[in-house]
Amino acid sequence: MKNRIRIQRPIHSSRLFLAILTLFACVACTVRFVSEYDDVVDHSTTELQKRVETFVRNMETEAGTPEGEYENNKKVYDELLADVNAIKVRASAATKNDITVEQIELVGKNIEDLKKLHVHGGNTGLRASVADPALVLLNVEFTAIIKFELAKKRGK
Amino acid sequence: MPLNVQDLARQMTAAAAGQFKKQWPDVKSYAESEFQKLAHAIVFIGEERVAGQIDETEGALLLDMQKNASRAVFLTIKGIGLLTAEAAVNAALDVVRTAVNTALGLTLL
Repeated sequence: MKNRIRIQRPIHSSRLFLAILTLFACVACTVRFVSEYDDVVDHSTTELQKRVETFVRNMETEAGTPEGEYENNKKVYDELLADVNAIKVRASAATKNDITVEQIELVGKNIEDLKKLHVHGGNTGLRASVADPALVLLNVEFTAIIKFELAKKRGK
Repeated sequence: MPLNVQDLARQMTAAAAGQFKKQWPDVKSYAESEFQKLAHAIVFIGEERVAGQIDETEGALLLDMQKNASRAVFLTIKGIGLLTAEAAVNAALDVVRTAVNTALGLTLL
């Protein structure tokens, strides 16, 4: 009977092979800390900014008239907030997009505050002393979203 | 003491520069521009409040909006910082990739 010599491979060599394979896989990949650029979020935010600005400017013009009162314009706030939610849903679908999602939520909060200002204005509506700073602050938020979204193009 | 737009903007810029040291060169001009607008809004709200052009409720709501807008700006600065870090990591991986392929004499990675 022949002696059968079993040669056992050292266990660590298969682990080493796996480690090298994993390292190669990592080096072959591109790392992403932030989601890719989304032109829908970019363009939708720009369109929303235009709608908000147009609405606020109209309300400033109509301030002090029945057409400028909140009650005659509450549907607009519903539409604007629905648009904010639509952009948020789109942004939430991408991974590693928490920053953009939070920024969109902040726009929603400021539109809610704008609505409260309008309600509080009663029959004076949205006067310039309230509407002007409110619009500046909303535009700062829109700029922040678009600035970051464009940066996600990564020089492409 | 009356609020001054330039002083306020400078203080906000200095605070941000202190927090976002590494990515500051990439975001400096954006941050300075936006802090200028925010400072202007804060001073305007204060002046309108003193002049009685806006009441306490309106002042509080506008300051809440200002807080939200400031947060949005800081988030963009943070996001651009992440993109800068990402680019640095990928540049390092590219170096390793090139070195491996050169050493092996073929495009393995």
